[in-house]
Amino acid sequence: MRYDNPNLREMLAAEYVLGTLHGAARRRYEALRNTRRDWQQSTDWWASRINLLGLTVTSVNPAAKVWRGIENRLFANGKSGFNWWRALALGSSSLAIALAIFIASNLLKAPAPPVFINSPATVALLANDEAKPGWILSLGKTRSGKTEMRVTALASIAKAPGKSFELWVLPADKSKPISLGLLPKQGNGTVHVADKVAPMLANGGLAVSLEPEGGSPTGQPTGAVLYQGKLTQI
Amino acid sequence: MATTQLSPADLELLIARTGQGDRRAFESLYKATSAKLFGLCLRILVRRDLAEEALQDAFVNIWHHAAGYRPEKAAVMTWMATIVRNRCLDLLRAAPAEKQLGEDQSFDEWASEDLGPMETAAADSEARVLVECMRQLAPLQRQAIALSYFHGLAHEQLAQQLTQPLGTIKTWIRRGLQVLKNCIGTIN
Repeated sequence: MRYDNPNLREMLAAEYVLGTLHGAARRRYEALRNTRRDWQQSTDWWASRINLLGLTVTSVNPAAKVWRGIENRLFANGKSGFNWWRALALGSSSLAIALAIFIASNLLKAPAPPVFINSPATVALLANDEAKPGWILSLGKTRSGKTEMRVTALASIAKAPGKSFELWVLPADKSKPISLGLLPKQGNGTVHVADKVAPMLANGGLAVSLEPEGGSPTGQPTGAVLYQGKLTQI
Repeated sequence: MATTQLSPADLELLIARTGQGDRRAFESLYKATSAKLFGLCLRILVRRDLAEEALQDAFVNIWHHAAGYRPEKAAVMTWMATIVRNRCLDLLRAAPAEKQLGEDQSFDEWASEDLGPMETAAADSEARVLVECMRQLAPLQRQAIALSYFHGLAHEQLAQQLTQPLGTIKTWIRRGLQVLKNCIGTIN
């Protein structure tokens, strides 16, 4: 029988792993691999050789934010045992909201990048205890449907050399804070929001903690909470 | 994040611990492997933002599938490269057509007589054996295989890209793979 021809099997396995088998040929191959042990073994043999090609590339260190993104996606809901949100008085400062509306309405006059859809406009102003604003956030979606926040650091933020400001969402159900990533110390930045976390933004609070450079090492806030705010639709 | 040199046995231990839910092991695994794997993402996707997205997705998959890793089937690096490449090719296919094959994406370094750069990059890994075996192929054979691997191109697309008849491409690839099989077989 044709499918018992080891040479044919080996060649199809190699082409399958390499990626030159497409369409019906690929589906036929997968059916055989799933039902026959010898075909599975040939596939494994080739996969462990052909994929060595992937290691012939030059190494490039990814930016630190890539690892933070992985951590956020996997462990943002993790338990740390530190009941941190209770320390926060989440009274929304009406002054902060008023300021947010004022600043955001000015912001919206600037031409928005076409890839960012933030209508209806949802914004937040993060302010400290003295109602001094630190960052303005504008929530929206990218064209591919991912939730993002555009962030602008204001000149008035506290100086913190060697430290990072980390943004957290404080879920309305009082569960543990979830990191949204680091905030820029000056200028503009983008905060990517995981799909799972995005729905929590509507009712949850926002807080900024002071963390070691690169962000909290534990996945939960470790430093003082300096700024707070809440997203508001305007 | 700096790459730390770990032995294959170290990596196996890290992946086993990762499979048990050990975050610290997972972080060490990332530190030890992410530079090479990010290099792979960049080679496939070129665009840094897409490469970062692919690397993140791949490591999320690695975390979830680490418990299913079988050392008898493939080395850790190869297993991870498989996951990373698959994710990159998915993103590549989802990208707009004009971005799929940039001008610098001809992979003609594999058609060059000098495979030194790839050999250097593969140093201290099993991949060196593969590069050694690739030397036995004709330049265009190597290029066809590289294009296929890094871009997931089917025979028809390869024929177009390399301006060769479809039958020629099929024969090239098949003979090339046959040579590789014999070569790797003798070295291992």
